[in-house]
Amino acid sequence: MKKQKRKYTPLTRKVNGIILISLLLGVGIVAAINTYSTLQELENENLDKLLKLSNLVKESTRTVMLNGEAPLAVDYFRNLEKNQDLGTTIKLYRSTGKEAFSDNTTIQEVNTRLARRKFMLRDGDTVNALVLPDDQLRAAVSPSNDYVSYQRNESGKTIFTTNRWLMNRSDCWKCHGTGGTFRGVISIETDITDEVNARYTLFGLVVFLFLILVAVLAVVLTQYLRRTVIRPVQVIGNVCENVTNGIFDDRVNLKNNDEIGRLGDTVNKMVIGLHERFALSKFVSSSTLQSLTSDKAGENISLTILFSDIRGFTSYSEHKKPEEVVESLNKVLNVQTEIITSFGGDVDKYVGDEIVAFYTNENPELSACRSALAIQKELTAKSDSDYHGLSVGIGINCGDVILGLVGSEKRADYTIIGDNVNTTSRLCSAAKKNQIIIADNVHQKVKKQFRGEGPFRVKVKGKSAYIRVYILTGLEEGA
Amino acid sequence: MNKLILLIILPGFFIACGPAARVVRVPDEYRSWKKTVDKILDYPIAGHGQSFRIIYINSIGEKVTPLEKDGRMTYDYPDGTIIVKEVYPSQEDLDKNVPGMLTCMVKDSQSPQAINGWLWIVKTPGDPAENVFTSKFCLECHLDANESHSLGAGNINEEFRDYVFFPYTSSAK
Repeated sequence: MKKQKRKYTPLTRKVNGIILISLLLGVGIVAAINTYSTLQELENENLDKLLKLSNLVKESTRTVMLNGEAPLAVDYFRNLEKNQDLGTTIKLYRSTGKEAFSDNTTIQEVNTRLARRKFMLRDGDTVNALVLPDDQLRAAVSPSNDYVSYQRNESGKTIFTTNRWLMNRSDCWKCHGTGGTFRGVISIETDITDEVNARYTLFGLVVFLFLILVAVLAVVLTQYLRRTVIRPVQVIGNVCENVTNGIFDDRVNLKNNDEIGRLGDTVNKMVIGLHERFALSKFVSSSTLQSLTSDKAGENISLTILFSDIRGFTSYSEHKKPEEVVESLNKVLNVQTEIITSFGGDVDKYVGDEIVAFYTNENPELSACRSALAIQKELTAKSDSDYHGLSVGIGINCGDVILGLVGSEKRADYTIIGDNVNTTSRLCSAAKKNQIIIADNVHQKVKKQFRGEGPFRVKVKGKSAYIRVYILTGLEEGA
Repeated sequence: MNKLILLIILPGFFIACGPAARVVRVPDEYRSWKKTVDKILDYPIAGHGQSFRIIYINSIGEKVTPLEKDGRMTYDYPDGTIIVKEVYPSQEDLDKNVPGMLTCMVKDSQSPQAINGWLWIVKTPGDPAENVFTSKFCLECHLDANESHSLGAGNINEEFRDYVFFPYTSSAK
């Protein structure tokens, strides 16, 4: 399955985004709640004010209408209209919705009920008498409401209206009869534009200050997070990246006394551990390293084994200084190791001037043969110039061996043991300088490419029977 | 005409009222109670038009005793008092003994729904739903009961009659 490349998003951007979204959402919610409660409060204040006023008007109307003093009511409402505060209008509507006192309809109706003293008719009807909209009238004269209130925008002004019914009480029946439940509607309108605008101005100021606060908070929080979280994480990331590139000298140097500081300490310990393990890998085989993660004490495994031993090293070392001996030995061992590993082999151990290696890669016999030929070629070509005239004999064998942790509790090697290992050692011992001896089973695997001599019968130590071997001198091209 | 008025007013009553209460405040056997006034009220009144009305009061309401307070005779009906007014839209309904609706006053001064100490309820005979008024629609007319008014019982002495037009007297049947 194709691995999808993940989009890289810097932590700084994520944290900034979260902070800004949180703050803006918070401010948005606060602003919405504030707006709603402010307008609700304003509506309640105006409603309360207008209801008190309408109660007052209702009681006053009832008082002046008693005892047949209707003209007083007319004057009362006219005076109200003249003396009202700027922006407040008080109107009385009939139960039909038409403005009261605007024509002679009511007077004529009342006069039909009066026996002797009748009211004089008006000279003329009011021009452009107001009419309460039908929906407002129906809502106002409903038994379910004591009042109804509205808020509307008109020509850039905000008008708040409260309508409440005027009941046809028993006091009214003498003149107005019992035919209707309601006598009319008291309607009070007030202009609340200035109040609304003042609230919105205040609200806008609050939102503006909030936004400034958000911006300041965002900067402060971002800087704080950058210093306490993001930069330390970047430092840790840089150290890890260096480790990935094989640089183990870098350390996390943080002053944080928190989880990130602890993480830095842990990473430092981990880098030290990795460095040690990396250094150790030069001295131990990869199988030994792998064994660290294996819980098996030992296992049977089939592989190809290569033994390489320096010829005449003992006599060589007798005439040289120890430093020169170690230097030349290391040089020969080093070049062999590089060649072995370059062909997929793994150096199991060094035993004095001897190398023990094995191959488990694909076509291990061929890899081992190639390694051996390359070693002989290198050492032969530069024997005198680079390797102080030293040469090696090599033995190669393949078959089952035991791979396991061998040694004591205090010191152990994860190594290969078994008959095939011993046989390979014997083949190596049998090989003369610059010679490669391979066992018959190895030859079987590489015979198509094999160039050399054999078969020979060799008697080796520890084996009663002769074993069949070949001397490898080369491999066919293309092999 | 009276039926027409009722048809207009009745929907308004139901709209005005809160959700149907689970508690039964007005029992069906109210007709076994005493009447506050002997005769059938047949004069027209706003809100009920040319209807016929019979008013009943329960035994708790019978215990009301007018007392003089601050120089004014005062009725204070005890909590639990129930007054049921049967409203018959026409003579025919009256003859059949089938009221069009019941308008009731239940004294429950502690109830949050109480307006001036009373629950103002309207219900349809046979329907268990009791609709309690949340507006002062009923009260507005019944305010007149505490003043001198032109209705049947009048209130010449302007007694405080606890919003009841026809106060219970021991002579009631």
